[in-house]
Amino acid sequence: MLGYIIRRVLWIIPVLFVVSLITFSLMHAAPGGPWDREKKLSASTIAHLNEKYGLSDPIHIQYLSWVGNMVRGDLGPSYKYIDRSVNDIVADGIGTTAHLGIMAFLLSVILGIPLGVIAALRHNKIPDYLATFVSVIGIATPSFVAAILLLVFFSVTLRWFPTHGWDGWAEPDTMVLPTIALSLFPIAQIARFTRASMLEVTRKDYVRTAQSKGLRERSIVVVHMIRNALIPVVTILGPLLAFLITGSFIIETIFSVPGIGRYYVTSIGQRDYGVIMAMTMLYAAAIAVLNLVVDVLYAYIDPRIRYS
Amino acid sequence: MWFKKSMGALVALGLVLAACTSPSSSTEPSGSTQPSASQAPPAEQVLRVDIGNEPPSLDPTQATDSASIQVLRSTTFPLAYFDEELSVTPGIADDWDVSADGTEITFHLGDYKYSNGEDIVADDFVYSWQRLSDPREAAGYSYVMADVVGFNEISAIDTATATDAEIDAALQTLGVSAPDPKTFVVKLTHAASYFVYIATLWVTVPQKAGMTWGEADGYVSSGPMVMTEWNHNSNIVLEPNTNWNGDEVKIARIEFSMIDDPAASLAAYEADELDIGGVPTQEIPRIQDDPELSAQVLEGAVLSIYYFGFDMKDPNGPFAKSKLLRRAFSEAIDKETMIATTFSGIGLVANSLVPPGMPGYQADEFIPYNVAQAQADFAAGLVEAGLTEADLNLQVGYNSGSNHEDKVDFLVEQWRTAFGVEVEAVGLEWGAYLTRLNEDPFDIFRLGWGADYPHPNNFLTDLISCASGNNNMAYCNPDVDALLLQAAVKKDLGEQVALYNQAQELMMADAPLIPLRFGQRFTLIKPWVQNLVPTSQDSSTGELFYYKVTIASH
Repeated sequence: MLGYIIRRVLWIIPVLFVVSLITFSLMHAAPGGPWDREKKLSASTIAHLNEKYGLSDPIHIQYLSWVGNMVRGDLGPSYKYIDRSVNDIVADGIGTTAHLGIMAFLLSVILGIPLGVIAALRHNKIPDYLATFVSVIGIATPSFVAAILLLVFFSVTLRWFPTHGWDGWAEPDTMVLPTIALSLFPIAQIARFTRASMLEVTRKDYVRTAQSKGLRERSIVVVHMIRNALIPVVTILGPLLAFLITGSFIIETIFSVPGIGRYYVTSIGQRDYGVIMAMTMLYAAAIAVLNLVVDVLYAYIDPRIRYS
Repeated sequence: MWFKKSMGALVALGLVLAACTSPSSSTEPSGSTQPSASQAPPAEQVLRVDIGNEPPSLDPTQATDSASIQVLRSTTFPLAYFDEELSVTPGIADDWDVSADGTEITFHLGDYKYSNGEDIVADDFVYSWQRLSDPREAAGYSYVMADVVGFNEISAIDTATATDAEIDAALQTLGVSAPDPKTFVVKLTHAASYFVYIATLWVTVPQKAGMTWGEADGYVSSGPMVMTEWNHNSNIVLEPNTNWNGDEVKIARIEFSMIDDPAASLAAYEADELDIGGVPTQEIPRIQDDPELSAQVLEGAVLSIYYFGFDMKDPNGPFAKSKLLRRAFSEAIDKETMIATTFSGIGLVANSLVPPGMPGYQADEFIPYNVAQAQADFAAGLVEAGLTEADLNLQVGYNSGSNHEDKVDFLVEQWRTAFGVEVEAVGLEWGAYLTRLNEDPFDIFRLGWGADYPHPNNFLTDLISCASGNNNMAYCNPDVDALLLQAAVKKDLGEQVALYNQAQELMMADAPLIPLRFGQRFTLIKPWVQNLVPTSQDSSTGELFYYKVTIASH
C-alpha cells in the first residue's frame, strides 16, 4: 500500500510537468500580451516592461526560469497587480477559497446523498419525482443565474444576508449565500449519482438475500445498500472537492468573495502569465492529489480492491 | 462505518481550514467593514462606493486604471487641481508662472504635509517625476512626460544594456529641478499650454524615496484622506488625513468595496449597502421605470467617445484609397436611432471627437446622416478607389463579450440597407483584438477614448496626430498636425480653441473615423448623499471630491 502511494505521488510530478508545459505554450501562443491597453503604451515602455519581467528572453529560457523559480517556491511577479507577487496573491486568497469550497462540499454531501437515497428508496413515487425535479433544476441552472436569483431574493428583497463581502466565522451571515450558490450544482450531481447507484444496488443478489433472510428494512438499507451504493459516489467526490476548494470564478465574482477563484478567468484576459500558471498548477495538483486520495480510500471502503 | 469516519475526517479538515483562515479575518475590526443586511444604513458620515475590482496598483507612478485612480484621487494631491467646472485651480502649488517663451513653468508650493507629518517639498516632485520617467519603472503613463526636456532621451535607453548608474545619471538630465524647497521648475522642449493639466494627474503627485504602496500599513498619503485598511480583493477604508491642509474634509470614512459583477453591484446598492451605484446597460430600462430608483438617477456628460475607425494603414485598402467611401460609410449611420436602441438612450450623438464639457467642443454636424448622399458617395467612392462592389469584402472588428455586438449589428444592418453590401462582423477577445489592431487592423474597427485631462490636446493630438500610438487608423494629415502644434503654443485658451477647432474641421473633412456617441453617466445616488461633486472628468461619479461629501440622517 505504502509502495503504491509513493509510486502514485511520484507520478504526479510528470503529470504536473506536462500540464505546465502545455499551459505555458498555449498561454504564450495566444495573441496579445500583458501590456495591451486600449490606451496604448509607448513602444519604449513595452520594451522596458519586457526587459523588467524577462519577457524578451527566448520562450524556452522563460519556461526554464519559471520552473526553476517554482521549484524554489517563487511563483514570480504579477504583471497586473504590480506591487504584489503571485505568492502573495495566492496566499492571500487560498484560505478563503478553500474555506468556502469545504463548506460547499460538506453541504453538498450532507444534502445530496440523502436526497439520492430517498429518491431511490421511493423509486417512481412522489419523493423520487420531487428529488429528481430538484436535481434536474440544480444541474440545469447555470450558477450565475442561481447566484443572482439568490442575491436578489435573499439580499435585496428580504435583506437577510449581505450582498457582498466575506468575513468567515467572524460574520457567518456573509458565508450563507456563496456556500448555497456554490453547492447547488454538486448537490444535484451527488443526488443523481447516489440515486442511480442505489437503484443498481437494489437489484443485487446480496440485497435480495438480506431481504429474504428477513432482516429489518433499516439495516438492509444502511448496512447493505447505502454502504455499497456510495462506492461509486466517492469517485466523483475527489474531483468535486478539487473543483470546490480551488474556487469558482462565478460565485466569487458575484458575491465578492476575496478568494483566488476570480483569477482563473481574469488572469487569462489580462495575460498575467505568472498568475495563469499558478492557478493552473494549483488546480492540476488538487485534482491529482484528490484522485489519489479517492483511490486510496477505495482500498478501505471496497474490500474487493487491494493495491500492491 | 467507513462513512462516518471519513465524514469525521472531512469535518476535521474543514475545522483546520477554518482555523487557518480565521486569523486574517479576525484582524479586521469586526462589524465595521461588512454592512449587516438587516441593519438600517448608518447615519454617521460614511460614504460607501464600489470600485469594481482590486486596484492593480495604488502606487501613483504605476496606476493606469479607473479603480486605482478612484482611490488615488482621495489619497494623493497634485500640483494643480480642478474646481467643479474643471477649471484648473491651485493644488499643492499656490500658483505658477510660465516663462515668456512658454518652455519653463515655475510652481510655487504651498504648505502641505504628508499623512505621516513630513513636509511636502519641491524635491518630492523632482523625485516623483524622475521616477515616472525612469525606464526601470516602465510606467504606463510615463508618456505624459514627453514634453519635458530630456524625457525622450531617457526613454530611449536600452535597459537591457544600460547600468543602473548610467540610468541614474540620465535621470538627472530630466528638466525638473527644485531651486528651493518651495519652488519646483519644469523645462519643456516646446511651449505646451496644456502642460499644466499634466500637473493635475495622479501620476505627478509628490512622493519620497522609500514609500511603499502595496498595503495599508505604511501607506503615506498626500491627499485629503489616508488609507487605514486594505483587505485585498475585499475592501479599502479611507479616513481623513489629519495633516491635510486643503479644503475641509467633511466625510469621516470612505469604504470602497470591490464588487466585480455589475449586477451584484446594483443589488448591493438596492440593498442599501452602497451609497453610489452603477447601472449595467441592460438594467437601465428597469431603473427608468421604477418610481423610487428613477428619482435617484444622476445623469451628466462624461468626457469620452465611442467611435469606429477606418483602416488607412494598408495603402491598398478601400478606405485608404477613397475618402468618399469613408464619408459614405459615415453618412449611412443613423446615430440617434443607434443610441436610442443600443445604448438604452443614454449618451449624446457625437459628430466630432472633442466632447461637450471640454473646451473646443463643436456642435457642427460635419458629416450628417443622409442615406441618399451616402449612396452617391459610395458609388463615386468605388470609382475613386478603382474597385467594384465585389472587391470590397469588408470586415468590421470589435472586442467580444463587452456589449458591443448589438452596436456592430446595427451598423452592419445600416450599411446593408444603404449599399446592399454585406460587412462581416468579427468579434475577438480583448487581447487578441488589440494585437490585431496593431498589426493588421480590420477595415472598420470599434474603439473608445476617455479623457485623462479636460483639454482638447488629449482628444486630438493623442488620437489623430500622425505619430500618436493611439492613432489606430494610421490617419496622417500634416496640416492637422501643424495646427495642433500651433494650438499647443498659444497661451490664451480662446486662441487655442480656435486652432483646435480648425484641426478638428480638417480632420472631419477627411473622415478617418465615425464618431458615434459621447459618454453620459447614469449613476444612482442615495438621497442622503449630499455635496457630491460630479464632474465630466470623473470615470466614477464624484471621485475628484469624495472628501467633501456629507451624509444626511436617514
